[in-house]
Amino acid sequence: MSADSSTKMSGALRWVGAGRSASGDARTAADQAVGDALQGREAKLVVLFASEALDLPVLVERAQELAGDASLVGCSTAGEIAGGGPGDAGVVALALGGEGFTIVTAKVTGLAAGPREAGAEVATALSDVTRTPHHLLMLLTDGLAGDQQEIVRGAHSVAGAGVPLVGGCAGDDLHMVATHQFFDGEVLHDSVVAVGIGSDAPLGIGVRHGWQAVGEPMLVTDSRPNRVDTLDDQPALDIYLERLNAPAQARTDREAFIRFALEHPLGMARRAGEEQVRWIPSADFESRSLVTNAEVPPGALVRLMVGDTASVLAATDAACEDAVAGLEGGRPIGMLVFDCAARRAVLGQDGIAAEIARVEKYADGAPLAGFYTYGEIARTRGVAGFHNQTLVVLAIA
Amino acid sequence: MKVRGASWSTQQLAEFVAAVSAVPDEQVAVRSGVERVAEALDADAVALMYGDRLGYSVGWPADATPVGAICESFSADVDDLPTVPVPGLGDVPAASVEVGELGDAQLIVARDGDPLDAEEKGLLRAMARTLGLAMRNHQVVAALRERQRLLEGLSEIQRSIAVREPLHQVLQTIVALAQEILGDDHTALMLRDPADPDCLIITASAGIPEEMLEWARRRKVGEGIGGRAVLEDRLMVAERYAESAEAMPMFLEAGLASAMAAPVHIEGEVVGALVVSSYRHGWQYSVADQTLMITIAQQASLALTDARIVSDMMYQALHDPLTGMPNRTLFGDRLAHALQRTERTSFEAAVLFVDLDRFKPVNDSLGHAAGDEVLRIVAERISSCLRESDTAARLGGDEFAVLLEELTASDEAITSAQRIIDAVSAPIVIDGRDVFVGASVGIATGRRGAEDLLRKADLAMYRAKADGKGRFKLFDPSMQGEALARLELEVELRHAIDRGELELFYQPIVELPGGVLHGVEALLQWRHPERGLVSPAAFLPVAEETGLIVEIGRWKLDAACRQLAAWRKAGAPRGLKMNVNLSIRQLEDSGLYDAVAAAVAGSGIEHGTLVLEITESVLLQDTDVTIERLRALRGLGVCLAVDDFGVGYSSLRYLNRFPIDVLKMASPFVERLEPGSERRSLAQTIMSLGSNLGLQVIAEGIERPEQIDALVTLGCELGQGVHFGGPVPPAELESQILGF
Repeated sequence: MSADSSTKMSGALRWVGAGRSASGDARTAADQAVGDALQGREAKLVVLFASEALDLPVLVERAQELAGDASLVGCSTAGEIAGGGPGDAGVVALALGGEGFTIVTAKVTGLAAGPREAGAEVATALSDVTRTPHHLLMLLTDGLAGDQQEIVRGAHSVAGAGVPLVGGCAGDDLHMVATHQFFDGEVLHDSVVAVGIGSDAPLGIGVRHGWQAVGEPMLVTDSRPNRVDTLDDQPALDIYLERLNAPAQARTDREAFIRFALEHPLGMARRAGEEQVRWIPSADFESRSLVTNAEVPPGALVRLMVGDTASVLAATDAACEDAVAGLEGGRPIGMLVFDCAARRAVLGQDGIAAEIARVEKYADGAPLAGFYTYGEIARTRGVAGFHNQTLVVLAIA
Repeated sequence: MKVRGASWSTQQLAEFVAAVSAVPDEQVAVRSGVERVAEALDADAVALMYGDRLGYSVGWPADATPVGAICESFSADVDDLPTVPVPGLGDVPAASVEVGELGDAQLIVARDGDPLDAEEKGLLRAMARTLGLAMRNHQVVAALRERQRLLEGLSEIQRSIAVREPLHQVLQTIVALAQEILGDDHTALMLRDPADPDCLIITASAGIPEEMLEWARRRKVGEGIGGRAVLEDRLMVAERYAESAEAMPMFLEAGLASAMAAPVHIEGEVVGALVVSSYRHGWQYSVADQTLMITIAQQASLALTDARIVSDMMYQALHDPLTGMPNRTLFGDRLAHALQRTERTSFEAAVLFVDLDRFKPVNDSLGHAAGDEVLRIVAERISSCLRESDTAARLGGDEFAVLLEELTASDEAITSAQRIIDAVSAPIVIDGRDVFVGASVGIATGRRGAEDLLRKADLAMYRAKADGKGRFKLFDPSMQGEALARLELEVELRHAIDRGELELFYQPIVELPGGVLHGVEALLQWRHPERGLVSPAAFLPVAEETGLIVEIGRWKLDAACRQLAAWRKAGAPRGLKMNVNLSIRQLEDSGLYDAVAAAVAGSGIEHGTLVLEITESVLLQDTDVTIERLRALRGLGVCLAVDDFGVGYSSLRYLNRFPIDVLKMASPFVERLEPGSERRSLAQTIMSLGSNLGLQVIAEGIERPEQIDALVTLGCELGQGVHFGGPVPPAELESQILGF
């Protein structure tokens, strides 16, 4: 299936296209998804979101062949999003081209060893795009490597307050083993790939999660960059399981815990707006600590967050509205969606179908592509830019 | 807008406190603090300023913090609400708050949109204060840590000096510590070039790349900051290098901004300098830094002084203090190395043992100072005979050794040996008189086995001595056998005394012409259980060499005196003489007097019946000590006879000085006494001598009756020889002694 949209701007055609494939054969999948997105046109950028179920090296190589001179970025997912609804084990592609787009890409490997440095390095490579009137940095990171908040801080330290950041963390179908990032025909790991998008027309970003804080707050008495060790001086895992009255299986089986924790994130209070949500990807049953993929600092007060279909879908609307509002009256010619894998768990099959339908509504026929992430990146204000359990929408005018 | 919980700011502050305290150092605390302030207040940009200098900021692109604009906005004379430019947002309203405890540190918080409300301002103030406290804390800890590091560094240096680590290693450790503690870009230790003390060479360095070392390594004393420190022996500080009088053009060109140097000493003498330098502008050397510099330079001084002492000690341990030659230890080491080298080549090495022939007499007669001078001169002469690659050593006493390397044939060793012998035998002038010592040289060549070579050279040298001295001998395997045999003999000889294998035979001394018994000469015999009767000629040399002669001599004296006493008791005539030979070795023995006294007293023989015979060479010695000894013996009622007179080189003056009673004319003079023969004249001369000096003369070696007549004619009254009987066991003489 494909969707297509273009606008005539300053004498040349700007266009965005999207495509998807459910084929189990990597080459076929690439042909279908990328082919549909390109529709025979010369692109400047191709963005690829694909499941680990496919043979990624074959897929990415073929996609690059089809993309020709265009830059290629992408990553593995915990599910794909496109017009028509969510999917699994497939591939989704978005392509854009034409006058009025400036594209620069960069990659940095070695995330786990130095997330801040990696973020800074990749942002440094993309400083040229700031010359265009509208610009942003899109980052796709290895969601299981290092403190993701630090990557964002690193990028922000170079880009500064004037450059919005958007993006998501690669997933691996909830196996929590290893994720991959794509860059110009290569499949990478422990990396961040980034696109500097410069545009003559506005770019809008919306970010909401819709979760609510409940119950008494707990003090984080001991934590490390990717672990919460104790809450209220007790082993964090034990307190967490008890407060939530977790089912027996979740207390002993890792897979069961992962699914359980998806729906039960922690939240930290902020000055304004929603709480900052922190997802718990898994737990360390030996040390009785909770694994996080972004910092939950010692001394922080955290609360249990709950989400229900209504609040989550309300957040979907709000995020889309914010993104479209950012286009300053213009209509979107394409939308990119970074949706937290945890939201699927809360919404359920029907719920996520409904969610994507709402996003499509705001897209108003424009091509739509995205994926279910292990974390979301959106920084338009202030310095904090990493989110969990959140929907991030990027609208392109 | 959500209504914040009442505890929001408290909780933010709690988080903030935890964040900035639990960090390893000040830098991280600053970074963390600034970022958290931004996050807590949702600011667009935050900067920590120290006066007009930026500490850290967030929200502006890297290195693009508008420090000037910030300072301007917050300067005293601005009335409007301050704003700061933030790219992408324009001029953003900003607030500033003092960071407590840190002088002029300020936090600037810029946020677009709502201005900070009361609660937020309160939180900001609290965070700023907390940040200040945390930073102060870190500074104190950092200072303590630095102090700790310095102390650790200094004791590490002390320890490496104490355990005698190689000097270059110690110096490198010192330089590394200076680099670490003072934090300059370059650190170097430069020392005077031993070959050219006006030049300084960088001996240890840190932070100096090879290419730079190449052109910076050498300079003259007085040149540059380091050179100046050496020249003036004081600390030199140049915080602005470009303005310093000592600045060297090549460093100015390189962009050096500051430098400091402290002199380094060995036992109070300036031998170099420790120098640090930096390219950073505004780099300062505080009083604390200068003190540190001097302290570390002192460590270097200690290390150098210690190394010199050690190296002196090492030198002393390996060299002979008198001659400056390598000693036995060093010689052994050189020999071992030489043999390692020969293993890889087809060359040979040679060991020469050089033993002086007449050193002892010189030493005894001229004194030890003169003896030392002789040794020094001999050492020089030996050394002058050698090539660069050869080694000469003094093994001790009057024994030297020479190592010759890279020999292709033993001829070369022989040539060297002869050269040495010739050089040493040339006259040595001491106090205006010519002294002659000769040398005997033993040569051993080979390609392995140091111990072996030494032993063989020794054996060969011994052989050279035995063969007449003043010559060299090349080792040959038979010497081995000889040595072994000699060793065996020695062992058995030692036992001989205990086992009573020694006996005395006696040879009669008679009146001429009648043959009336005058006395007997006691002669040592050894009745070996297996060998049978071993002649004195076979074992006496060994006895002399090993010093066994002293013990044997004592036994001989005792036995002879007892024998005489026994004969006297049995009825031998009073006045019967007992002649006993005394070797030079026995004369040197300080216990001789006591031994003689004991023998005389123990046996009870009458005064004047014991005659001690000494060889003529004793007279050559002319030492007061010897004369005194002889006089003392005389005092015991003992007579002294000179044996084998006429064949030595005694001077008449000596003859007079010594307390002699008897001359025993050597047998060559007794042999041919035909009228008109030369020998007869000589015999006559000796007779006159004896008569003139009041000495009795005994003619030795009388074999034929004709000799008796001639001697009688010459006036000789006593004689000895096979004609009158050879040495026999005492029993065989009894009838003669008792019966008359």
